[in-house]
Amino acid sequence: MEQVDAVVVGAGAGGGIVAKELAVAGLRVMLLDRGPSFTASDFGHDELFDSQERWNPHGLRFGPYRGEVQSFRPDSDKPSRVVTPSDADFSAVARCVGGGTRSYQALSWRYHPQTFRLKTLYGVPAGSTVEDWPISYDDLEPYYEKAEYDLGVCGEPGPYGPRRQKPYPMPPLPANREAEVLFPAARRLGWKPFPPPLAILSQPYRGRPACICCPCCLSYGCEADAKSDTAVTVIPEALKTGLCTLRAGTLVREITVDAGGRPNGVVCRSGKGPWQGISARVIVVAASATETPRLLLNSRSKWFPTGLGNHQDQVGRHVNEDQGAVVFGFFDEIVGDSLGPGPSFALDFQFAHAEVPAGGVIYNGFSRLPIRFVDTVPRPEGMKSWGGEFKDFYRRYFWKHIRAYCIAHGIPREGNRVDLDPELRDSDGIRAARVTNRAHAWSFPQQEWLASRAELLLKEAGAKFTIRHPVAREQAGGLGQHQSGSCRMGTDSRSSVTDRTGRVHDVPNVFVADGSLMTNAGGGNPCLTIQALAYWVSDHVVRAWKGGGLNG
Amino acid sequence: MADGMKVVPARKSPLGISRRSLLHRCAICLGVINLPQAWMNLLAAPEMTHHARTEAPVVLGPVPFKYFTPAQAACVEAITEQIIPADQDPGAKWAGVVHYIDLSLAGEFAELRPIYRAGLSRLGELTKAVSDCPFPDLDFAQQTRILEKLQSDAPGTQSSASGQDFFALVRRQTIEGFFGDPKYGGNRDYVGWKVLKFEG
Repeated sequence: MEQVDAVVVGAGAGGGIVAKELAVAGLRVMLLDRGPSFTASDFGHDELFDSQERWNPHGLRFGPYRGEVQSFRPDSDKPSRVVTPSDADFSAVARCVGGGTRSYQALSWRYHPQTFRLKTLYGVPAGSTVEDWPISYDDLEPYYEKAEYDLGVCGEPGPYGPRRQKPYPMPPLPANREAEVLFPAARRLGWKPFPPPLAILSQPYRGRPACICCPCCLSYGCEADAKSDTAVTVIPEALKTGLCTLRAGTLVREITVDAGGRPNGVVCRSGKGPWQGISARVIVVAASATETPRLLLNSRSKWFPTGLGNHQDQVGRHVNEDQGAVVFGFFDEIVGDSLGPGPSFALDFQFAHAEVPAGGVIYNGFSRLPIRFVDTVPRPEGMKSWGGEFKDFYRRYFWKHIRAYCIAHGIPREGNRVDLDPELRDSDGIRAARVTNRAHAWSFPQQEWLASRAELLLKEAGAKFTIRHPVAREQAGGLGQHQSGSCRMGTDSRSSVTDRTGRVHDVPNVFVADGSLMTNAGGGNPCLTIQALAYWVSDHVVRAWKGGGLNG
Repeated sequence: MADGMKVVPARKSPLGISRRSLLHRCAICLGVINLPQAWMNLLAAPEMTHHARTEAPVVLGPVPFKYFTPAQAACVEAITEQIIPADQDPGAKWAGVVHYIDLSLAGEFAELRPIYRAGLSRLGELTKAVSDCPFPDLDFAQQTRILEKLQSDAPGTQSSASGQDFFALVRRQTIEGFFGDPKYGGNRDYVGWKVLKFEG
C-alpha cells in the first residue's frame, strides 16, 4: 500500500494551498482530485464547449460531469427528488484540479471583522443556528495577506477597510468602459467606489504574464495563466518540492481507520481502476461544502457508526451561502466594451455603511458574450422570451446594458443539511449526498436594499430603466458555487464539526480546509476567505505534525 | 475565429486591431523564443487550441439533412424562424439554425430525438385544429399563435416530454445555433455575432 505523510482530498481553492504548504514544510503529500487536470492549451472561447455555464450543451466544462447524482429537498419535511448535474438544484462546485478557481471570476474580497461575529452583533434570528466564528479577523489577517501574495491578487484597499498590514501585491487592472461610466455616477451619489480585488494578474508575477483582458473570464479557463487559480500557482509549487504527488481523475470513497479507531488513510480509485488504499498520518479534506461532509458521513466504522467526526450529528449541518441580487441597467448609449475581465467597479455597503444589518458589496460584471446575454437578460414585463420584439431588445442592448451584482451575508438555517440519501447511490456504489437547503429570511432585506442601491447607481449613470432579477424570500435550491458552512468551525463540538484550527473535533489527525469551515457566509464572494483559512489550517497541521499534536 | 474572416464591423480595441490578430502578428515578429508555455500556446493560431473538438465540414450550396426528413426540417426551420425572425437583420432560417439542430440530433445529442418526435407530433395536432395546411405553410401570425399554445402545454414528466418541453428545447437550440460558433452548423457567416456587433 502506498504510504505518505498527508493525503489531501480535493485540489481546489483550499486543497491546492494545503498540499503546497505541507510539502514545503517537508511532508510527503498525496493530492487527489476526482476531476481532470487542464492546461492553458485546453482553453478556448467557444460558448458551446468551453464554458462552465449550465447552457453549455456539452455540459459544464469543469464539471461536475454526467454520472454524478444527488437528491435535493427544500425542507426536511418535504420529499427529496433525484438531481443530476444539468439540474439547477444539483449542488456543486467544479470538479477539476484547481476546482472552482479554474473558471471563476476571481473576486477576492477580505471579509470585515464584524462578519466573524454576527451572533454577537445581531443575536440569533428565529430559525437560524448562527454562531460567531471561533476565530477573528485579526487571527486571519496575516493569512489573507499570505493568500494575496502567494497567489497573486490585484487591487486597491476599499474605503472602509478592513485594515491590512501590507498593500496589495499589484495594482488593479485598467478600467473598462463600465468603470468609466459607474465611478463618476457613484461619486455624484456621495459614495466611495473602488476597483474590486481580483485574483488576476495586472502585472507579470512570479513567472506568469499579466491578464490580456479577453472577454472570457468568468466561467472560462485562462489561456494566459493570468487568473491566479490554484492549478497554476500553489499546485505547481507543491509539485516542484518533489514531495507532492498530484493524482487527477481519482475519487476518494472513504477515510479508513485502524484497529484502534484512528484514521489512517483513504480508499480511492483512479479512473475505472481498482479501489486502493493510501496510508497517511494526516488527512485533510477539501472537497467542497457538499462533498466534504458526504465523505465524512460515508466514512463509517464501529468507532464512527454515523460517519467520521459525526458523534454529535453535526456533519453537514448549518450549510449556508451568501445571498445575491442582480440588477440590469439599460442605456441609450454604449456603456461597455470588450475589455475583460469584467468586474471593474465595486461599492462596500456593509455594517456602518449599510442601512440593513450586515449588508454586502455591489460590483459590475461580467463581460459580454452572446449566449450569456441572451440567456440571462431579464425582459421587460410582457415581453416574450422569443420572437421579434425580444430580438430587437437584445440587439439593441448588448453594448448598452450594465449588470450590477449584489452579495449579502447568509446565515445558516435550522434544517439545512448535507447528509446521505437513505437509498440513492452513485455509479460507484457510494451513497449519494442529499441536500436540504433554503435561505434564511434574515438575508432578504439586505438583498432588497442592495438591489435598490444598485438601481440608484445605474439610474444616476444614465440608465433609462432598470430590471431586477426577482429575489425570492427564503429561496430554496441546490447549493451554488459559494456554498459554505457544512463542517463549520466552532468551540463547542455540540454545534460544530471542527475546532478553531480546522481540526475535526475528537479526531486529531483529520482536518477540513474548504468552504465547509466557514461559520457563516460574508458580504462578498468567499474564495479568498476559503484560501486564507486553508493557509491557517495548514499552519496548524504543520505545527501538529512537528510537535506531535496529531496524536491528540 | 481566424484572421481573414473579420466580417463584423469591428468595434476596435484601443489598439485599433483585434487582440488575437495582434498576437498573431506578434508571433510572426518575435518568433517563439524563451516564452513560458502559456504564452507560446497563446501565440499559436487559435484553431490549434481546438484540436480536441469536433470540426464540422464547411459545405457550400444546399446542405443535406443528416437526421430530419424534409417535412420535419421544414417544420423545425419554421419554428426557429419564429424564435429569431428576420427583420432588418437575418433570422434563424438564413443563419442555418435548422442545420445546427439537425447535426446535433444526428450526432452527439441523439438522446434529444424523442423530444423532437413527440413535439413535432404535438405541433401537428395543434396545426390540424386550425388548418389543413402544414405548419410551415401557415402565415407568420398563425404560426405564432400555435407556438404560444404549444408553449403553454402542461409541463411533461421525466419520462414523457410535453409541447412545453419541446418548445423550450427548440428555443434553447435556436439560441445556440444562431449565436454559437459556425463550425457547429449555424450562425452562418457569423450573422448572430453581427446582429449583436460582437467581435468574437
